[in-house]
Amino acid sequence: MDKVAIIGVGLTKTGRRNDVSHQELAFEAIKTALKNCELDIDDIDAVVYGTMDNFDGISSPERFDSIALGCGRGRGKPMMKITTGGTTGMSLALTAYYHVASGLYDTVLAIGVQKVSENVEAQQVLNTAVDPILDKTFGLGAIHAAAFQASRYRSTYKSNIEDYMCNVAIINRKNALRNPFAHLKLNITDDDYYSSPYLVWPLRLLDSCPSSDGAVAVIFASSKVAKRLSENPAWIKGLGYISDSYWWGTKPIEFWDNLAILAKRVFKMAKISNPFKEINVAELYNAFTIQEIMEYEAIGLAKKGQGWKLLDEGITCFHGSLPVCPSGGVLSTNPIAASGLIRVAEAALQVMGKAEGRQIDGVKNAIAHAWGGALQFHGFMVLSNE
Amino acid sequence: MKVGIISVGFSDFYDKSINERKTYYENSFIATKRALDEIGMNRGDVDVFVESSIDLFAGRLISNMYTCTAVGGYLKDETNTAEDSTLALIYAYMKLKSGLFDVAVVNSSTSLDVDYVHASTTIFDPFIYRPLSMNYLSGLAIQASSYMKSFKIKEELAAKIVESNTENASKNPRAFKKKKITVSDVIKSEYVIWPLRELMIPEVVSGSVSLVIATENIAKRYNDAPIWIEDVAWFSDGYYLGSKRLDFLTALFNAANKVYNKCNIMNPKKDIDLFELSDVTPYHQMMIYEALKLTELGKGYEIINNDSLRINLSGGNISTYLFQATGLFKVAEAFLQMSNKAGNNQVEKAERALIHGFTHVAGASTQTHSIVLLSK
Repeated sequence: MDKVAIIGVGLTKTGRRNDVSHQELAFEAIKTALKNCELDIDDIDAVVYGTMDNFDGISSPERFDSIALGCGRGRGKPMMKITTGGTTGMSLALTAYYHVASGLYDTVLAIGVQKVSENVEAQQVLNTAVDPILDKTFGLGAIHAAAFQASRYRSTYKSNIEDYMCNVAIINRKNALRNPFAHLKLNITDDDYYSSPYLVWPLRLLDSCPSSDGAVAVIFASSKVAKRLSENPAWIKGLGYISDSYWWGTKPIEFWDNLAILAKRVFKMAKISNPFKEINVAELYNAFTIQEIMEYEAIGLAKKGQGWKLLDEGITCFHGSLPVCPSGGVLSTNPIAASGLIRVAEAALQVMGKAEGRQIDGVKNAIAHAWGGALQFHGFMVLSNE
Repeated sequence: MKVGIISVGFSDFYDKSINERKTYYENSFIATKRALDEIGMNRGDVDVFVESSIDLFAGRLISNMYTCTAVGGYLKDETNTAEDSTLALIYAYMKLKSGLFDVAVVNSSTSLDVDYVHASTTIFDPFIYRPLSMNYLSGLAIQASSYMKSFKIKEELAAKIVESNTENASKNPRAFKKKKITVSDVIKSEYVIWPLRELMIPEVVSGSVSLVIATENIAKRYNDAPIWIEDVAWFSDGYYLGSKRLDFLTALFNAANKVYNKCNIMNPKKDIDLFELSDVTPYHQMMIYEALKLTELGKGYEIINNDSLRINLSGGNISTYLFQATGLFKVAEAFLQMSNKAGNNQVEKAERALIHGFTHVAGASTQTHSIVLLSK
C-alpha cells in the first residue's frame, strides 16, 4: 500500500461569519489550502465534502457549494459527501485517505464547512438526532450527554473533578489566543470559570464549546505527489474509526471504552508502543472539558480515572511535555462538521512545522481525534514527519 | 487485488398504503442479516461497514446513529455516505483496495417518514431558486423539457420506456410494482409537473438492501463465483441551471469515459451484457443512453425496444424506487443475474454489467452520476 500524506491546509476565520455565504466560506478554505501547496483546483483529482446539513439551516449545501469545489469547471469532479455527526470532519480525512490509499487518485481535497449561526439554536437541532420516542421529549442534546459523563466521572473517580475541568477550560481558551483562526479567545481566570452559569449540571457555560461558522480544507496526496510538491509533508502513519451502540444505558459513560479500543488499534498500525513518550502533541475533540480528561485516559496517556493528574503536573498545557490542543481545541472553535478535520489540519501543521504562533517545538508525531453521535463514534489518526 | 461481491440481501419493501412499516434501521438489520446468513457469515467476520443515508430523507439528524448498530457495525470501522448508495459501495471498495481490510458490508435503507418532494425544497439556495418553490422533481422536469426541446422528443417515446421497464418488472420477483403500464396508460395519466406525467414519476418505497464484498482470497472462501468489481467512476457537475447543459448528462458521460478507457471498452453495446440504469424519469433514461455512448446525442429513442440490449431487467426505478438505496438495489439485481440466481427473469450470458447510480437530491442542480462495472 502506498503511503499517504497531507501536503496543504486551509483554515478560515471562524465565529459568526455573516460576511460570507456558505459557498464563499468553503471557497475561502479551499483557496488557502491550494495556495499553500501551490496547486490549482484543476490539479485536484477528487473531492470529499462534509457538513451536517441541519446546522446550516439548509439541506445538501454541497450541491451549491459544488461551484467552490470546482465541479462546475471542465469535466466536473468526483465528489463524495460524508455525514457522521461530530466525527464528520475526521470521517472526511479517513475518506480522503482511502481515495489515495486505494490507488484510485493521487491528489484529493477534503473540505468540511459549517455555518452554525444559520440556525436558531444548535441544541434544538441536535435534539432531532435522538430517539423520537424515548429520548427526544426531554430535550436531550450534546450538553446533556457530556453532563451525564461528567456526573458519572465525578461520582466514580474524582469528587472535585470540576477543579480540573476549570483547568481545561482556562488552558484551551488561553491557547486560542495564539491561534488567529480560533473563535473564542478568552483570557479567563478561575473566578471567571466558577462564576459562569451552569448549563446542565455539572457543566458550566465555560465547560462548553461555542457554535461557530468556519471551514477547513486539507489536501491529501500519494507519496509520489507529496514528495514532488512538499518538502515536509505530514505522513499518515495510522488511522481508524469505531462505532458503538446508540443506546446510552448500555455503555459505561465514565470511561470511553470504545475510544480505548480504537486508540490501541491505531497505535498498533502506527507502531507507537508508548504514546505518552512517542506523541509530541495531541489535537483532541474536547467539545466539553470533561471529555478532554476522559480522552487522556482512553488513548492511554493516563490510567483510568486518573486523567486529571496530567493537569496537576502541567503536562498538557502549551509548554508541557505533551501539549493538548495548542490550537484552543473544540472548546474554542466548533464549526461542527469541520471540527474533526480542523483537528487533523492542526496536527498536520504541527508536524510540518507550520503552526506559527501555536507551533510546539520538535514535533515528530501528532495525533488527531474526533467523537460524534450518541457518544458512540470516534475517529483517530497519527501523523508523522517521517 | 480484486474485490468481489459475494452476497446480497433485501428487506421487504413497503409503500405508504402499508401502515405496519418497519423503521429504516430495522430494515437495515433484516437486509444485512439475510445477506450474511446466505453465505454463513456473521458480523464478526466483517471488517468494515459503509451505509448510505441522507439525513433529510431519513427524517433524523445523524441517521447512521441507528443503522450502525443494526447492520452489526458496533465496535467496528463504520461510516455513512450521503449519496446514492452506489457511492457507499465505491467507498467500501476503496477501503478494501487499500489493503487494510478484507470484508465489508454495504447497506442502504429508505424511510417513508418524510415527504421527499417537500423536503427537497430546502435543498435549493435561499435567494435564487427557493422563492420559485423548486424541488427535486421540478429540477428534473426542467431537464426533461430541455431535452425534449433540443431534440424534438415526443412524449410517446418516454411512455414507451415506462412500458418497457414495467414489462421487465412484471417478470422480476423482487420488483415492488409488478403491474405493466402501457403507453396509453402513461399518456392518459395527469401531468404532475410538465412534461412529467404521474406514470413517468417513480414512487418512493421504503426498504433496505445490503451487499457483502470481499477481497479475492476471502471472497472465494464464501462464494465459488464472486462477481468482481471491475471498475468504478463518479463525477459531479455544476449547480446553476443557466450555466450548464441541461439536455445532456455531462457528469455521466465523463464517468463513462473514465471506465471505458480503463477497461478498454470500445463498443459498450457489445462489450457489456447488462445495464441497470437509474431512470428517475423516462426522459433521463434516454439521456443516460446517450451519455453512456449507446447511441448518438439526441437519439436515445433509438435504444427503445432494441432487443439486443438488456436494460433494466429489474424493472427500473419506475417499479422499485428506494431513493438513495436504489443504486444498491440495481447492483444486487445485476449480481443475481450474473450469479444465475435471478429466478423468473434470469437471462443467459450475463458476464459483464454496468450499473448507473444517480444522486439527484437537487434535481438538475449538481447531479452526481456513478458507474459500477461488474464482471464474472
